[in-house]
Amino acid sequence: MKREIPIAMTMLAGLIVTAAFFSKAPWLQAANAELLSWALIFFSVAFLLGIGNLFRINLKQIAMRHPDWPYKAILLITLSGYLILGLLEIEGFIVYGDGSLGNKVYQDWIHGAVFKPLQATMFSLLAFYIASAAFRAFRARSFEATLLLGAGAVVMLAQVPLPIPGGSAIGSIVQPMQHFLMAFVNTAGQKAIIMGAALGVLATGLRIVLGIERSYLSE
Amino acid sequence: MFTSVILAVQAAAETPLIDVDKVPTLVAILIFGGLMFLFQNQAKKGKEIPIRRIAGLDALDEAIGRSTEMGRPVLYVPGIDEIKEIQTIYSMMILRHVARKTAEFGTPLIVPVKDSVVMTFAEESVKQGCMDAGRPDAYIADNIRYLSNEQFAYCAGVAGIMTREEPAANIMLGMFFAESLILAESGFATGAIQVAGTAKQHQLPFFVAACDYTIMGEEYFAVTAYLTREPSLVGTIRASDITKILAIVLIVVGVVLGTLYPDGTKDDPGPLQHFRAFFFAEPIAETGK
Repeated sequence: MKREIPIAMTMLAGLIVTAAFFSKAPWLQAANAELLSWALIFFSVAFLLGIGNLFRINLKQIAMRHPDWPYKAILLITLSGYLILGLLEIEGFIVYGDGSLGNKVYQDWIHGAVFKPLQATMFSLLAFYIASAAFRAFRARSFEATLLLGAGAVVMLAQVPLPIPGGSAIGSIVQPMQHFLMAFVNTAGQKAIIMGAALGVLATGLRIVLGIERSYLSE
Repeated sequence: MFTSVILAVQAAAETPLIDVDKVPTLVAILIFGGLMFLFQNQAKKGKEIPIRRIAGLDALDEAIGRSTEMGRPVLYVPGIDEIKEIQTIYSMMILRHVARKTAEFGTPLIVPVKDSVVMTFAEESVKQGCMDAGRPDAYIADNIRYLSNEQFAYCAGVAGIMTREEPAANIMLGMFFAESLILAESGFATGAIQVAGTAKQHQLPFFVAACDYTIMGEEYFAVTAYLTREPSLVGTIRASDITKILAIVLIVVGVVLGTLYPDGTKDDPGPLQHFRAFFFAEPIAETGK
């Protein structure tokens, strides 16, 4: 029964959601909306599990004096501090300079001044990684790699004209080639991948909803 | 809640049960489902359904073996989407196979996750994989790590694990977004063998450029069938192939009709418009010459 009940629940929920996609019947739509709201509640509660996991693993490593333990302590202090600060602000325990309370002034400031720049820093690394990956990928070691190099060069020249005399003329020559590559070759390749993936999604969805695929369950 | 459902049931009598606009999709799913059952039954009766060799999937064992030889862990990144994304669910199924292999070889498996629900699934998959291998003691709870639910914080965390713990194999299977190349390049810098796979076509070029093996598109959803050769799973692969052939035939017919009869009149819309109306339930446009 430990396996049968979850499979039956998965099938029932999957069939309701699938049927609601194909039907406008209000009772099916209502059942679908109810299931989705349950899922939202479930996701919110499960968030606490993640925090629990973070504390369990990092506290253990701090206690064992892992070589990186100071960073782990900073992580837990920051996590707890941000949470407590947010709760204090929302509950009105912090009065701001203008006498107002109940906003998230400090929390928003930390988010904008610390978190967002850090996130942007990580994202900006992408520019360097694209350059290093392209350098390796564009080495003409084989026929396919040479084709990739040629196609990449055409697309880049059409996007960014060379800063040399005649650069814009070269750009105007390669632009139609770039259009052909992007609109026909690239799009056709992408559509083929999308079609194959969509069928894979459909097959996997059906296998799970119909209880054929069970490897996600414990035995 | 139940009252609202009952009230809705009462109102249902006045609403048509099937949304007419979605009938073609429903028909396509029913055809696909029928083919799936047909080929599953054939496979169960012993008919051999071949699956072509997929280098990326063969490389999974090679990568785990290499980690074992080097005495270093295997890193499994299940993408950054939530569990409601089918690629993430599928990644959990593959994780179970990977966990079984690592448990058999006695190699540590690290699974950093971005979502707490995915974390519980990952714990279960790894636990189950270890039990499949007959090594429940190989399960290390602390190796299933929730890092952050923010994309780039998670990305930084995974890159940190790659740099500090130096896994000899990085397996990245699931739904990836802008972090894909950062992860793949960080892994490349550590010299790890890298196997990546996703059905997200925009991230595939990054994985192809930076990883040793890439499992792309439909190959990703063939992993469990390929690894287990279970008839019920292999049958779905054949059903996908047949459906794809049907889709290709429809595309070719549409292209031919569109080329021969590009436009019709209001009174006679032409074969292409009738074709589209029949197969895709698209209304016939009033575009007369």
